[in-house]
Amino acid sequence: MKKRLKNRKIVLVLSIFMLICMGTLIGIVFQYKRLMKKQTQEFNSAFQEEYKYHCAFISESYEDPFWESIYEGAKEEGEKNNIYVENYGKKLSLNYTINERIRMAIAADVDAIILEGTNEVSTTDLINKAIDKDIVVVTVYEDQVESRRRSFIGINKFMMGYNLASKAYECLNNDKEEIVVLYEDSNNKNQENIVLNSGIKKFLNDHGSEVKLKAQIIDNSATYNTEEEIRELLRNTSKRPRVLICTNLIQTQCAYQTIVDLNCVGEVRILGFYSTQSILEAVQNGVVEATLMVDTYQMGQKAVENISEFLEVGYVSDYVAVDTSIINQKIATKILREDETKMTKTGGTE
Amino acid sequence: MKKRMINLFNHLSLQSKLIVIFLITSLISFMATMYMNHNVNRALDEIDQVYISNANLNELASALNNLQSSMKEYLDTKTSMSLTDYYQYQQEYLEDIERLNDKIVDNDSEIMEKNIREISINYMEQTSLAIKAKRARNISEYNKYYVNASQFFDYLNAYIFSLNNEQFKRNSSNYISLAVSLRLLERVTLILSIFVALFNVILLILLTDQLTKPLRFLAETANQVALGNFEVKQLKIKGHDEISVVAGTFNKMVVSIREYIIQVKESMEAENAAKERELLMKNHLKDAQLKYYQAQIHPHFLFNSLNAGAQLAMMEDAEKTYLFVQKMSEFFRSSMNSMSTDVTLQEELDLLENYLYIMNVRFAKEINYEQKIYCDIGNIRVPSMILQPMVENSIQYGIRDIDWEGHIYLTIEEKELFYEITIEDNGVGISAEMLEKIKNGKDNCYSDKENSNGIGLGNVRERLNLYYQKENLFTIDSQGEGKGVVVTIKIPKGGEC
Repeated sequence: MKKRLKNRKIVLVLSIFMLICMGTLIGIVFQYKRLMKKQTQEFNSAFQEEYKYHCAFISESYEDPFWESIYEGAKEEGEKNNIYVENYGKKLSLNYTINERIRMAIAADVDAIILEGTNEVSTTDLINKAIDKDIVVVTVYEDQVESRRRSFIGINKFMMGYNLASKAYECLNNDKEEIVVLYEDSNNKNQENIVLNSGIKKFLNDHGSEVKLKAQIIDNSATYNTEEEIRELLRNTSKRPRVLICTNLIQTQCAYQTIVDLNCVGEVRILGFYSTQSILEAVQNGVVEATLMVDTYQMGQKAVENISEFLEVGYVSDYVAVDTSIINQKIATKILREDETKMTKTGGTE
Repeated sequence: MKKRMINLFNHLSLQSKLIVIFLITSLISFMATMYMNHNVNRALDEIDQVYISNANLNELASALNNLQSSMKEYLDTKTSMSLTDYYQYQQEYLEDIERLNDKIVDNDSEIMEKNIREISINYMEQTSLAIKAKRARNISEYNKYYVNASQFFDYLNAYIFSLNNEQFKRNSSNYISLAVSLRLLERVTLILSIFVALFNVILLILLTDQLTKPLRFLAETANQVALGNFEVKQLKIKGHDEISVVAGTFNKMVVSIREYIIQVKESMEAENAAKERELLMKNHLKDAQLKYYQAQIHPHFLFNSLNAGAQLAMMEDAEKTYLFVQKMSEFFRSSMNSMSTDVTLQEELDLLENYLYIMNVRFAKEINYEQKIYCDIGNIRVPSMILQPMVENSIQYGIRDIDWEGHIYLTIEEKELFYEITIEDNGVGISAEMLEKIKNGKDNCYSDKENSNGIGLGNVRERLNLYYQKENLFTIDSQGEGKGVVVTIKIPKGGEC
């Protein structure tokens, strides 16, 4: 009887140890399986979702938030329309020009191409070549007017100029003060610049203003030119304009950094372009007077919508405009607060 | 099912049971080892496969370079060897790109593979056209195709290089994960080994417990039996192994011992009963003796006095007085001496003769006594004082007060199983009612009267029963009042000296 009790005790102790071992074992096996599952998922993710169409997204920059936003819009809309949008060339080790990437995309027999127009003849030829190979080409933000591209998704530059001029006009104390508009120096931008300038002039004429309007061409062929030229423009106190209108994101970022560095916030009023976090903060702080917000996400969406429509019915609208709006200090504060609230809500889970 | 398995196990021999236990634990260990081995092998296979995609891409790049070189060589030299090489490399390259993904999926590497595949098809088309134009000696055409092919070749190289880099990054990450998983697997193996070992030990304990349980019960029961407790429970026999056989035999042994003990107990009880009976008889005798002593005042003194009287009578030449006193003295001596023991039937008759002589002197020869003995009585032993009280009763209650001549007859006959002593008188007899009472032992009129020596019929009957351990040795009968009484005593054979 004693032996039997002893045996039972041993069995009990061993069973407890066995349960502990089993618990540990299950824990490790669970961890192992999770790891293997993760690996398998990574490995097999290619087989998870297959698309019908392949679209190459070719932009000037991979890192620019402006283009990133357009790509995001295009990619998400593509998922809805069974179109895989590839940020073409991003994964390549070498940097290729837009034209080279168009060539690659044509050679890769993609179904569609979304690109920013360059207004270069070679690009026009490549677009036409792609069209000949039944590839749907849609230009965004900047058009390739001479080409046979199927559609263009952009902003109304005339209205953009008009709106910016109205905001600039508010910043002026008198008609003797100067407005400087920064334009990009590239072939494909000339026409856009003229339209934008027309919009500004139209507003000034409409309001009978005799304010001095000066166009400053920024040569952005070299990497750091934009920053240098803006700094040069603002360094000379006697030549400092009252209002500086920027027409792209880089110009805006460089301009507000320069006026902070030169300690001329308030003296020079900046009207920016696009609305990144840093620009919105600058608007909130009063460093930048206001900024023009372009719905880039919508731009990407519309591009893919048009491609999908063309692939389905064979024709599509030639031009689609996206929304723009002026962001002042009040709106910027509101947007930032909303973003902060969103971050706080999702921050716990991220 | 479980019960069936247990039954099956119970029916095995001890050796088979041990083999089964060994096989079960070995099988579990073997299965665990196989499982761990399988996992380790799988992990090793996966590690082997980690960089296979890089190797494939390197192979693809090599094939591409060979194809480009052979094409260029042919365009430069137009040798048949280079053309053969071209076709061979083209075939190789084609086989390589066949393995690449051709589906549009949301995965950077896969989509790059798709791009490589598509560009490669266009590249091969351009190379084929260049070769064709070269063979047709169309210089401008093959130059144009060559430029196109070279451009695609550059793109492909860039793509393969980039994809190789991507794959390498991913594979390195996979390799790290696999290394981690291998380490986890090592822990799993270790813990699984411990788990299996513990499980085996538990299984062994449980199974051997099952195995040794009957042995333990057997030992416990044997211990109980050794301590003298034979009222132990029978051991349950479930199987057919050696322990069960021993248990069965043990059960039989316990039953046998128990039966033997019962027998011994019974015989001891019988012996004790015999002793008890003897003691009881002695008590009865003592009781009779006591009563006798009460009846006789100082019997020894009287006995001695009678001897003195006899001697005095002889000295005075009074022969009759001497004889009388002498007979009395003998009677008392005989009765005194024989009270505690059994006597021969002859001694009992002698005692009776002395008594009758005395009675005849007392009642002036009024008692006619006749004695008929039809057998040899020399060796018959009887309890003492069984005849005298009967004759005394016949005298006292039978013939003492009758108007006719009183007779007492004593007959001794040998029957088949016993000697029959009959004492018959022609006295007043006993009424049927009184006879019934005497037979039932309710009336003691024949025992405790003043003139009696105190030994009644009941006493004689009891002593006979106790002495011979039999019933109905003493009977009394009468045909009614005035018709005398017959007392019959049966002396069973076998009590001879």
